[in-house]
Amino acid sequence: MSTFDDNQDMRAQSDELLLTGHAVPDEPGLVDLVATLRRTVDAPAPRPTPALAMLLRDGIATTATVPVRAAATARARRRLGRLWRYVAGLGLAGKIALGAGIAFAGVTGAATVGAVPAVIQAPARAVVNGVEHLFAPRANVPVVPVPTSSATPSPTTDAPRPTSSGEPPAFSGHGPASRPTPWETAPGVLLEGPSSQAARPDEGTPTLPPQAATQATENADPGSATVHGKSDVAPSATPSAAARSDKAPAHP
Amino acid sequence: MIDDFDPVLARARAGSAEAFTLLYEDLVRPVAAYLRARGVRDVEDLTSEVFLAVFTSVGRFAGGQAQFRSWVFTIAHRRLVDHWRSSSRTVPQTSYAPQDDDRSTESAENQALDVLGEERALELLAMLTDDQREVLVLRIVADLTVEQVADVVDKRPGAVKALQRRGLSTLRRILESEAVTL
Repeated sequence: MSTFDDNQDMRAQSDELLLTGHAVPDEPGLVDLVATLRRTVDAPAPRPTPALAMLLRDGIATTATVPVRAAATARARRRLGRLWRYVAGLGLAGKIALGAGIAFAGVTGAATVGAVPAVIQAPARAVVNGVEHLFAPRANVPVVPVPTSSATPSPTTDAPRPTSSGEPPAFSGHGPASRPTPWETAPGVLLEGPSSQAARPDEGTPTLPPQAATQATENADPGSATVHGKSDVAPSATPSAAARSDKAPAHP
Repeated sequence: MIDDFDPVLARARAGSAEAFTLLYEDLVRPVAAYLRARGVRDVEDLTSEVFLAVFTSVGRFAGGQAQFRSWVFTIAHRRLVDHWRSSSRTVPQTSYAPQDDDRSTESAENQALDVLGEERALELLAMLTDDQREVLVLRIVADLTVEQVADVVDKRPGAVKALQRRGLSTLRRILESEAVTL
C-alpha cells in the first residue's frame, strides 16, 4: 500500500466519522456544520394534511383483489415472455415457416368463418380454393376401400348425407364441383377439414368412435353450415345453445 | 427507531391506523428535515404526500426496518424530483390569512442563533452540486448508510462515496477560506 492509499483510507474514515455525527479533532468547522444539519431533525413535525390525518385516524380497509390481479398479470407477462423467447430462438427457416403458418391460418380463417363481410370473404375464399389442392394432393383420387381385418364398419361414409330437413346444405362454395368438399360431405359437422378422412383413405380407421361420430352428427345443427356461404340466411343457434338460452337469465 | 418493527409493519400492511401512526411518528421529522434541507418551502404538504404514498403502497413492501427507512426516503426523493419538475412549470402563489396562522416562536435570541446556524448551513450546502448535496443530506439528516443512499439515488455505492468525498472537500475548502463560524 502506498502513502497515497493510506491517506485516502484515513480521509475516508475521517469522513465517515464526520457524517455519522462523531467529533473529528482537526475539522471543527465541518463538525459544527454536520451538527447543525443534524439538529434540523429535532424541529417540530409538520402538521399532516386532512387526507393524511384521515388515514392516520381511520387506516385503510385492505382487499385481496389487488395482489390476485397483480399475480395474474405477472403470470401472463411471464408466458408472453417465454413465447417471445421461443420465437426469438427459432432459426430463420423456423421463423419463415411460423410466419407462413400464421398467414395461412389467417387467410383460411377469413374464408371459412362467415364473420367477415362478403367483400373480404370472396377474395379470401378464392385464395383458399386456389391453394387447397396443394395441401390435399390426393383429393381427386377416387376413394378405394381398404380391406381391414376388423369387422367393425367405418363410422364415416363418403356419400353426402342429407341434413335433418332432407335437403342439401345451403353451401355456396367456389371449389370444383367434381370434388366434394368436407362441408358437402358432412353438413353441419365440421370434424373434417380439407385433409379429411375421405381424402386420405389409406390412413386407417377414423379417430372418432362410431357412437361419438353419430352423436356429433345428431347434435350438429344443419343451419350451422350456412355460415360458410353468403350471409343470405342468418346462422341460428344450436338446439343445445337455444335450450341454454331459455334457461339462462337475461344479461342486463 | 421502533423496537418491535415487524409486527408494526404487518399491521400497517393490513391497514391499521395505529401502525400508521407509529411509523409516521418515527419518520416524519427526518423526512421533513430532508425536504427542508433540499430547499422545499412547502414542507408540510410534501411530507404528507410522501406518507400518503408510503401508507397506500406499504402492502408491496417487504423487508426490515433499515430497508423500510431507505424505501421511505426513496419515495421522498422521487416526490422531491416531481416537486421540482412541477414547480419549474408553475408560478408559486401563496395566500396568507393572519387568523389561520397558528405558528409560535421561541425567544428572539434563541431563534436568531438557530436560524442563523441553519440558514448558513443550508447556504453552504447550496454551493455544492445537486448530487453532492443530495448524498450529504441523506447521509447526515436522514442518517442513512452509503448502501442505503445508493439505493435511494439509484447509484453504485462507489459513486456515492465519491460524491460525499468531493462534497466534503468542497465544504472544507469553503470553510477554510471563509473561516466561517456557524
